[in-house]
Amino acid sequence: MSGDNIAIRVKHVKKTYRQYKTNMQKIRFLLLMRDAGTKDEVLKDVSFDIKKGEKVCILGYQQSGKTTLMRILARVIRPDSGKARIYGEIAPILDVRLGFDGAMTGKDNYIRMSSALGRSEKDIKELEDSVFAFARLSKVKNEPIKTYQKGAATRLGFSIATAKKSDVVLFDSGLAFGTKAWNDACMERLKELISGDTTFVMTASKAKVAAQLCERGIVLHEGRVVFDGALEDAASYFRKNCRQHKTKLDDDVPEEPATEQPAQADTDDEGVEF
Amino acid sequence: MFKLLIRVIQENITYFPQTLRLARIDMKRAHMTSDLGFFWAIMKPLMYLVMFYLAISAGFKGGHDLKGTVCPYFIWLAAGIVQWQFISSLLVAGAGCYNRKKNVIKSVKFPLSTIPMIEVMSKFFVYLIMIGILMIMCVFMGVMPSIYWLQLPIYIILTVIFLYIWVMMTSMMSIISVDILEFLKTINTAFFWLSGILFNVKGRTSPFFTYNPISYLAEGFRNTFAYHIWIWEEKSLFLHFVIVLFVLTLISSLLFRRMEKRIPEIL
Repeated sequence: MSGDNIAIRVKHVKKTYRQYKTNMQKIRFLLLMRDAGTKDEVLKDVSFDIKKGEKVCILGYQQSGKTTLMRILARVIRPDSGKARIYGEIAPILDVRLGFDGAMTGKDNYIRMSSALGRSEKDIKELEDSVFAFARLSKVKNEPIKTYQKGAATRLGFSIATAKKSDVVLFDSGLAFGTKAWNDACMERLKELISGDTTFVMTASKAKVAAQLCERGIVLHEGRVVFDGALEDAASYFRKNCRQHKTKLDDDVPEEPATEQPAQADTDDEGVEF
Repeated sequence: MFKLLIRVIQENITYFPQTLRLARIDMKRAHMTSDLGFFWAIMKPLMYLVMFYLAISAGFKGGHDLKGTVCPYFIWLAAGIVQWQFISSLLVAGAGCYNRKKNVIKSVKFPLSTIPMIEVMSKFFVYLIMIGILMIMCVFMGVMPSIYWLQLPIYIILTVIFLYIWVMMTSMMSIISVDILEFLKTINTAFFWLSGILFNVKGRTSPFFTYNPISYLAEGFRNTFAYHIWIWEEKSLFLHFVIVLFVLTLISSLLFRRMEKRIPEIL
């Protein structure tokens, strides 16, 4: 933890994505360090501080740069310039399913996902029962995920991702939930996870759900912070001043999933938009 | 580059328990498509071995020349095939390892240098079992354990190091262009025939064999089981192997250093 009680410090962060049409463009940029490919400036000089224990919602439409910002905070990708410092252990909840494999059992997927999240063997063993109990999948944990009911994979993913407390919890908005009872259970679990000194940052395109979890709002629009203050004021500013903006290139991770998905893939889920 | 190498080694040591866990699950996944699963992982190389043995012994009327061996031809062949099976399982397929893990790479901070090791370790368990079967076959065929078997771990470690560097290099290249995968598939057969897996290359001076790491590693197993030659008795071949390893390390490091930051974005 930093001396001045800061949990997250973002200073002049810029990020540009590139799209390569040919392999030569990739080689030019990646190996020869020459300028190549089509550029899309996603973050344009973003700066803010978040204090230890603060609960913050980053409000923004698709392509506003919020998923990119979260991935930078989670240290998945690096900014082109500027600094993003996070003090403490991070629990990134950016994709609750982390590429679940439908042919593998719930337990194997649990071990795989927990390992990818950096959990120790001890943690994996200790948390196993509670994870499956919360997801209401204890009886079928040794069955392949493709045999699970619709929505069960997301329940498991959410349960794994939220099983352990951390100093900083990063929660991307692209999470699909299920029935009202399940949504309520998830909300309670999230509240418990982020209680106390835990710093919490979530993204949303609507402030409705965020209001239950956050007190501060940062409005991100077209790659810039355009408002930073109380969540209520941020939501009001966002509604009045921000409009959906389409860029040439999309973020490579979808920021909001479809609210309903066809039941074709073995891990499809019903969802409620955050 | 030296700093990068140290970091990669440290990362692989620190995350080794995680690597083993993920490798075990990858292995399980690879063998779960059939009911007998893991059984086929062992049966395939054994069938491969028997097939080559029958083809060469019967088809070529035993026309193999193995001067200086202390074992039957079958053991000599098996020592090379066990090495080839492990190496060939990663020679081409290893190149796709980053793509196969892209969901994880894009969602959490993952130690990227450990991904080639996960790939190698996922094949390593079958390799160890095959070495165990080779040892049992030796005993059954009258080749008793000898002091030369003590150098086996050295060759195993050298094989793992070579494969790790190879997988790292080819996977970086395949991120840039998928044509690399096609190229590797094309030259896979050439690797087999130019590595002396089926014929004796002992004493041959062609660079195809002396600078061929696969040939060196296969011969290493044969030195242990068939020829009873210590690793330090073939200094020049070892030196050639180290030179090739150094060049491959250099290429892998350059590619990894340039691309590491961008991998989660370009996958």
